[in-house]
Amino acid sequence: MAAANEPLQGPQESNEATRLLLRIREGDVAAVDQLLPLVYEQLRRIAGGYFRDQPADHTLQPTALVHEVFLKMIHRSEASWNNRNHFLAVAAQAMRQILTDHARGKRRDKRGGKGGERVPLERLATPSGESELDILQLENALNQLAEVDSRQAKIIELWFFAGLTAEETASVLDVSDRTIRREWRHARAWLNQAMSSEQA
Amino acid sequence: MTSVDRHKQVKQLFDEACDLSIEERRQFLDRRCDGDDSLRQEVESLLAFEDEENAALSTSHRGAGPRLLAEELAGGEPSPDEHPKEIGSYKIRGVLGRGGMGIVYDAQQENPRRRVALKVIRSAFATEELLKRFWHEAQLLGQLDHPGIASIHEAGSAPIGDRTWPFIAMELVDGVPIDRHVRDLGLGTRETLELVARVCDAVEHAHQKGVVHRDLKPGNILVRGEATSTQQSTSSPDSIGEPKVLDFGVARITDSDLQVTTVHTHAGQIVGTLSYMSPEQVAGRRDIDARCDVYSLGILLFELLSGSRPYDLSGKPMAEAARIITDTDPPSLVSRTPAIGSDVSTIVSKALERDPDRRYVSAGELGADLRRYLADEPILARPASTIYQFKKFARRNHVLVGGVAATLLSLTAGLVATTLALVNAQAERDAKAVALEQSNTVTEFLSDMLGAANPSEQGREVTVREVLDQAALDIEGRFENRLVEAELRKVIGYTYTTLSEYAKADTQITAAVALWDELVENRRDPWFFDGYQLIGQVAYFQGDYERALESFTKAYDFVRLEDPPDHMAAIMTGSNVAFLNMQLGHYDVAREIFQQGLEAARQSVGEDDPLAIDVKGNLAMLETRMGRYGEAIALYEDAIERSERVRGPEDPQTILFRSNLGTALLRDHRNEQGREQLSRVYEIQQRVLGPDHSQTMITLGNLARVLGRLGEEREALRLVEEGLTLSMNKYGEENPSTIYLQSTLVKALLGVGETGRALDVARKALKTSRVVLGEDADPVATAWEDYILALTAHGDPEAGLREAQEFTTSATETYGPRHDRVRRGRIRLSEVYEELDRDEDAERELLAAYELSDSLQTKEVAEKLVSIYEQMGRTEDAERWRASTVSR
Repeated sequence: MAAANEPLQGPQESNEATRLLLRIREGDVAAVDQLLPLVYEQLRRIAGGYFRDQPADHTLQPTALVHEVFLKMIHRSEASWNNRNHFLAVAAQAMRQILTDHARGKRRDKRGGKGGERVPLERLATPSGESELDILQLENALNQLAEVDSRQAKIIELWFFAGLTAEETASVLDVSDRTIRREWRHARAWLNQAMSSEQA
Repeated sequence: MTSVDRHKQVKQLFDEACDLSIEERRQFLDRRCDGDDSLRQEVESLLAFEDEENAALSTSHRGAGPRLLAEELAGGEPSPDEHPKEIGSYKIRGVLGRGGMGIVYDAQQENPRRRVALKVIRSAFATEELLKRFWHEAQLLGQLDHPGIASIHEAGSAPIGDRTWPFIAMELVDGVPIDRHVRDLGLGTRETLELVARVCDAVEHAHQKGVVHRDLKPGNILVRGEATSTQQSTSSPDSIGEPKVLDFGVARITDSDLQVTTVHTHAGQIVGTLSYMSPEQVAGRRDIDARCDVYSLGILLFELLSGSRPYDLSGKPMAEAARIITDTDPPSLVSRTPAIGSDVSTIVSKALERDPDRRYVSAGELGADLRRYLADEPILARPASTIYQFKKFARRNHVLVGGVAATLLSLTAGLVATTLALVNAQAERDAKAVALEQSNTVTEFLSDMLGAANPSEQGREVTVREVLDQAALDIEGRFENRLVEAELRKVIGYTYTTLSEYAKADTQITAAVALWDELVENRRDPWFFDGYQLIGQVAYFQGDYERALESFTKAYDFVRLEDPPDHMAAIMTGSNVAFLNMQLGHYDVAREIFQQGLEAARQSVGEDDPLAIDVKGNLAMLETRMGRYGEAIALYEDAIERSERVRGPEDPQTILFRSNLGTALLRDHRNEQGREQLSRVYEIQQRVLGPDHSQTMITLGNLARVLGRLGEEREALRLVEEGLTLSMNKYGEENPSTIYLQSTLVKALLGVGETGRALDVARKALKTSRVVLGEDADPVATAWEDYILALTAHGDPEAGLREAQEFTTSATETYGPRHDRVRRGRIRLSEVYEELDRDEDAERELLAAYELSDSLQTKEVAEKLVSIYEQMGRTEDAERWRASTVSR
């Protein structure tokens, strides 16, 4: 209550993510767009750090990176379960964006100005090493899927990019586990078909 | 049928068909597709992809995104698992295990002929640094020579495939994990303790050589005992067993260390490793020492003696598991197995202290205490005292509520002393006895609070908030001496305020003050001052300015009677009182008190004291609000001069004053001077705070406005568009800084004649700012004025008139008829009337506005009057007013 600034006061950046999450929870869709760049930056920063500045005995499971971003951005006391789910949804989107940007960047580099030519891209071996996945193909297919069924696209996004289980996805999207599993089964077949026809 | 409907239809059929057998599917599709071949084909094709095992997107791809990113950033793919027949002089017999960074082979050495465990680093992620550490650690391990440690035979490198990879050959230990050994043999408590003491001996040996294991867990401690010993051992294998610790140091390279990069990670594995990790490891701290091994041994002891680990981490996500380990205390062993006795439980608790400083210094000390117990000697470990437990409680909750627990702790620590003093004063005759009794009551109360704070059986974290709620419930009538109750209520209330629980704080503090009022006759007791201040604060934060003012005034009256006088407290409290008066619109009172504060400062600490300078700055702000820009400007100039001297020209407070001075100059239409101040502030802020800092943006907006007024509209527009982009990117559109810049953009756009865009921006800015800032905020008024201007400029003066009327009416209702906002409203009205050719109405509003203007504002109004009279052809009046603009 001492000195005050005559013009407007600045925002509190540290609470920005928390505030945005609160708004997302209240159903403000626009807040997602604001949170996204914050998460994107933080993800990039932390993911980079994992390899340059690796503390001893530090382990990563598929979703650990996302969790870490969450804990970094959200004040501990605000890190409720509900917040976390909404955050994961945004993080999945951010992760998708990073990977797509990254893959596009590589494609540009590899083309070396010639243009048009298709080159093999980031290929992700599955744990069993049987199949490969092109992230840009997936991106295309996901966008197509979103046009006919946006919820299915969201389910795949959460599952692939944030590593959410059916239960967690159900809680984010507020539907039953069973619905998620059913939607997921169909979406996966749909995407595989879309990706295989693109290859052909 | 739309593609969305088609998708739904196919999905429905797909769903139903999926649950059928291949045979049933055919019939099902025959029936349901009913001759629609393309539909049938779509469903069948999808079903084929459902069945296909090797599809691009498989069930194993959950969370593949982060993994893919990890690999991308590491820049490589994991190497394929082609197993060589030989590595160097070792024949490969099979795979013992694998980790993220390499593989452990079962291998045969020719000379000397023996079986070894051959650990090979083999990974695309093996960086130079990692290899360097590998060699370093292999060297360290070579120095370890203890029967309880699997020895290292050789470290070297050998070609595998087209690259050379480093390896180490180690003693291949034949045994079973220690937990299975204890279970299989049914070892009792004393035998188990002896066995772990032997593990401690081995680990201690390593500690003395400067090697920390960091990953002690049952899988790394194998035991050859009677049950498993197939060959004669060198040292005496008794019925207890001879433990061997594996995987010192280098273990981390092939095991958990860089598991980040592996795609083979399963959640369970990691949690399994986490279970034995010390809090400092989980927190990722780099200064890990021998005491992390002590912790792991503590977990091991707990598990071997009770059959379960202290924390239940199963099925928990890693972040949650990590939080449990770092933020909660483990339960005591005796709470799980009452038969164990308090000494063993105390030893285990000491090993499991979350603060490494409170643990045994080394594995050797832990082993020694175990042996003391076994020899029926007194152990060195001591159960934690209540005070210590309280400190731990504070520490645990520190993370959760940031500083609150620390506050609670310091307040409560002082409380016992306060109580003692209090009781001494109250009961002089038998002071000691009473004091003791009272302090016991307080201690008891505190331990009840602590009891509530202990994690319950489910391992749930209890927050300071819950402790306080419980305490608030329990306190009524708990103390015979009700002053103790008052003191505690004050502490609880204060702590609530730090949690922003103002209503609850209010209840406690008000009750405390009431008790004090009732029981303490000395009205000069300093306690009253604290109480009034606290009530003032909670009332202020709850928006109850009237009550806040009342209470702060009591505090102010109290402190002014202090003898000897406490100038600083008086000035500060006075500043609060004045500030609240200002908020409530009692400008004259506020001004008087600010001036008194300034006078007091002059006579005590001097005008160059930072506090005195700030009071002056506040007074200047008040003058600006009262529309007395001349006074405000003079005060700011004086405050800036002093602040530059005392704090430096680029000190934030100095900059703040200068920026506020710029605003005051602008409001006073002293544009050239305003521009000079603001340019200077802008330059410093860009440099010191960065171009996208909110304060910098506000200055940018102000600067753009003054440029617009000075006829440099293009430059103003460029500046504000640049700033708006920065602000949108950084803060988003609902941010005050963005709203403010939008309003500036409106003026700039109007300045260059882009009225359509100006109107769009103005409408949006007003709408957003009303939602975000509330109806009465100053920026909303500005945005509203912008909207009126834009409406009028864009050819809809009728709408502009309605808005201007509403603006003026609402300002009059809220602030009274003589407020500056009313004056501004009247000027806006006059502009709209002028546009509507209602010159008489415009004249009337301007005259009213003139009436409300102070000496420095009259010029602007007078100029407008001249212009309207010229339009009306009333040249005489125009001349008269022109003269007044000159003479002023």
